[in-house]
Amino acid sequence: MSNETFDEETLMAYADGELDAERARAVEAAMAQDESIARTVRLFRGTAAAARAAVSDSTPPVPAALRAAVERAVANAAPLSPESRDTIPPAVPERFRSRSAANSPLYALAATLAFVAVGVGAFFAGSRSSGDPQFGGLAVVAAGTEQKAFDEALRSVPSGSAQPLAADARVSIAATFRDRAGQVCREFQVERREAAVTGVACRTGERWSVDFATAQAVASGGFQPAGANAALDAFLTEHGAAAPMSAEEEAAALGLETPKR
Amino acid sequence: MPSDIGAELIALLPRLRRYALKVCRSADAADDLVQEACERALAGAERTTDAPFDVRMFCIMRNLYIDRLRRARTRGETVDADDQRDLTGEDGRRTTESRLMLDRVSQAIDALAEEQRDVLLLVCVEEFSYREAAEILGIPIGTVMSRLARGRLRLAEALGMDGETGPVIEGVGR
Repeated sequence: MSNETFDEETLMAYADGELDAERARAVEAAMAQDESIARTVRLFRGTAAAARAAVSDSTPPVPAALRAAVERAVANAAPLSPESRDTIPPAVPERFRSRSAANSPLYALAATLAFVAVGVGAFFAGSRSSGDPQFGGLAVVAAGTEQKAFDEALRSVPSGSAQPLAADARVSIAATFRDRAGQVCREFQVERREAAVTGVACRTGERWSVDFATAQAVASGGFQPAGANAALDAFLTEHGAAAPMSAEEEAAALGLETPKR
Repeated sequence: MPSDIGAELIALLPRLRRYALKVCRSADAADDLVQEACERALAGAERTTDAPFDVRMFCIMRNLYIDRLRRARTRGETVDADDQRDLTGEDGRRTTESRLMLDRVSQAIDALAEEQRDVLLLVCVEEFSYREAAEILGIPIGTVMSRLARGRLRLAEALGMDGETGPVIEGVGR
């Protein structure tokens, strides 16, 4: 029997996962005893969920001009020294945040991301360079032909199929869908010997750009951590991705011949 | 070779702009703010903490925003407060009930006192911890909590939420 009282801030902290285990248990005991405490916790949870949904929903996509300006700034930036490179922790994708769970698998995933971050950087830069002379001289040197093959795959490979990019790399296309803005987007995976990148590329005019990517190290047995899908799901949710297109819809959206049945 | 933080920066753009839009309430001002923050980060300024990348980016952007406000005030400019309504409602699908509800929530957030809205956006929308929000805003964690609690109670009141039925929007709670 608990007759401890809690102030609103404590109940809010409980709702937000900010209390330590002992305090959280005390609040849970009180919630079971006292409906008004439980109601206050629900109120705080409800406001957070409503705010998150409302702001995500009302946010228009990043304007192409802003994205391009930042990409130029990235391309022009001086490379970091190796020491500083090591000290930069990766951003944990939004919905991966677990406030009180330093040991969660998500942190392990973040560590994985850090491990392959350099490769992903190059990959990003490369995938954005198509048709844009600003990025023409960018260091995706080895990726010159890879880049072309990747763009070609986005344009023409049906979902469910894969295409080689290089001797040790291939891209497979998982699905095609439209985002909230009506852009045609494709979910893809680029697999390499030591790492795989799952991502989403969207088409603006005739250009494809990678709007999301998450990397996973691939263990020797071909094992891939499951966490990447959660990040992808969060991205898709946030961007209002519609259900994947059927083969016919996809062919129409990509301007390809309708698949034979 | 581009800077290594480039990919992370680009991945973070939607969140940076989302926050900037809510804070600046003008698309142009938000874009300027995000771009300048990115340039600062790339220039390697302010690499002083070992906080996660997104926390540092929000810090940089927040500090820039405060600087701009201050400069605008000394020049006697007023900050354009309300072309934000133009930013939503571009697609013709905003008619369903849940969408109307989301619009109401969005308006109620805009109507909050700025200090309450700030913490609400960082903690509830961007899902920063209290400590991270305190770092970004440069205020004590206790202040984050009291503003956040007041803001959320105010929001609940504006929306007629009473905690009886859980989240007002079906299917969006975690």
